[in-house]
Amino acid sequence: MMAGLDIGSSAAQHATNFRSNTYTPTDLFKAVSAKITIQNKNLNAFISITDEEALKAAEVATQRIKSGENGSLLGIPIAVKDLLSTAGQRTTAGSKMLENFIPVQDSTVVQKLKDSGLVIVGKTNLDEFAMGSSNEYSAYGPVHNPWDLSKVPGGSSGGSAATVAARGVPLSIGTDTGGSIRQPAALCGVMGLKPTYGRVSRFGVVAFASSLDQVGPFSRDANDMADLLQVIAGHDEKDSTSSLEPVPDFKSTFNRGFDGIKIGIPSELLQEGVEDDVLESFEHAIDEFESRGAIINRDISIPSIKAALPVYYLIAPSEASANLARYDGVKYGFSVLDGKNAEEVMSASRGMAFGPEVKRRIMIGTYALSAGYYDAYYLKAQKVRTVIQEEFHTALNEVDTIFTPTTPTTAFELDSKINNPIEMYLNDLFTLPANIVGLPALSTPCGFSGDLPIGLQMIGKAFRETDLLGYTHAYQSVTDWHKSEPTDR
Amino acid sequence: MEISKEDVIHVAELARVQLTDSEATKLQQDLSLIFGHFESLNEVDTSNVNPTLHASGAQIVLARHDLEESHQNLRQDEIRSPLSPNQVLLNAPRTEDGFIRIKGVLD
Repeated sequence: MMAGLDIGSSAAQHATNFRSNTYTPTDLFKAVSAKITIQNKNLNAFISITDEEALKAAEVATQRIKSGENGSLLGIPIAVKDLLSTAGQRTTAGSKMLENFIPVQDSTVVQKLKDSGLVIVGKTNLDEFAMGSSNEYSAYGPVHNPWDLSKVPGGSSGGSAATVAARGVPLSIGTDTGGSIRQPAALCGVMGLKPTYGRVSRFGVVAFASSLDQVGPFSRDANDMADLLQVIAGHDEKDSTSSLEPVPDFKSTFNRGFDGIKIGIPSELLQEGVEDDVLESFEHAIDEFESRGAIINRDISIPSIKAALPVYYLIAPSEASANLARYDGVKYGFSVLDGKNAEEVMSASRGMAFGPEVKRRIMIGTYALSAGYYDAYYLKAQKVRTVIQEEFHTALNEVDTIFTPTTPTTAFELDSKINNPIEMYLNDLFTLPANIVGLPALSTPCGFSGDLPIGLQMIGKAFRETDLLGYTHAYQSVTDWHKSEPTDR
Repeated sequence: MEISKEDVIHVAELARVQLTDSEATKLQQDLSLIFGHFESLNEVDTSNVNPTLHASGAQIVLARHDLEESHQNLRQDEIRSPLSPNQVLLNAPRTEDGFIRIKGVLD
């Protein structure tokens, strides 16, 4: 290891060290690549480690820095969830269906990372097609939690969370349809942000549930997260659902402190099923804010919030069943070669290449959308979705942000919930609502239960990620939870 | 809520997903349980509520007045270079002479 090179530094620290010529992006990349390759034996956080292309990108970044170019994340190593297309690099979506799929185009987010000089070191493991809360539904094996290898890292962006937690890379990209960034961030003790729906382009991201999916960053602190969001945010003409809302300076609130932040706590959510240690850490975090000038309001109410779970598990599988119709064994993806006609090839290919959770969700969605059931299920869910949106709107007129624990429990044992879909779905109780209403939400570490991290979730107003990053920056300036790291894996 | 095995097999045919017998049995149990939980939606009164059409409620691409005001999210109507046939066929399981080859559609 080179003198002065600590792989576990923040992106900002690496950037400073590049400028002072302590080491170059190429040096850092080589160290990172060696570390994540070794760690992968235990963590299984990566499906692909992209050495050749990454080395070239690191060398280019080294030259750009030598020539005096600025750019906060120029030369910084990053891991990308294997749901985002990378031109010429296999993109599996965690599925056997796309085992040999080589995209011909970059997703917009990947293109932006490359343009800003980030070095993509690999594609991270995930639940198949981003459907899952434990990363156990990956066709490439489960990811292990760096804090305790017998525990799940959360999902679906489990690999992206685990490698940042294990100090493999300072930054990563995930996607969040019902908590798939925030839940693994909480379980792995890192920061994760789901931006407002439309803030980040979905072009080139393998679609799961199009009205809920959003791409977002993982990091260890608010400063790095603001830098990464700055790179990936903004309108994209290739995604008509991406917003024309101007992109602000995401650090503009970093000096606001705690004074006068109006925090709402929806008490109805905390009544049952939350582990004592999680509740205790959550209350400590609230105290930190309150004792420094924030105003806590425990009277806000989102009466229908418990309906978020059934709403989500109708809408997401319905949209998924339509989105996954494209995997027909004809245009791309896995295909059986034998069959008496096209339809048989299609059914057999899908039957063989989709895993159990993906099949379950296709079945839920197809059933919910089928003749005679549409009004009772899908339409009803979309109406309840409107009710929940209005309730959030009302609550956020009274407060600036809503705080909850990110998850009801800490990381659970591998294999403990895999055969019980309802119990698995309950992990997402606190994270689902933000997707249903399209609002930004993040998770930041706020404590431990034994060795296992606990996350604090903040939900904000539409397109006000800046507020949430400001609150987090303030919180991280008076606490050290985000600095804790697992013993070397 | 009881979903029969015949229902499961029918829906699997609609979804073009071949299931083994044990998968169908497990899915019958799972779907019965899951759709049972969905019944709780009826506790929310939605008699005067419109369904959500867009996640953030704000922007719909095709509204005419929006188009006139801001061109919304639509780009200029100009020809761009599409993917080449070779690129499109790159990941196809079976190709022949620049086409995708499939099994017969009719028996």
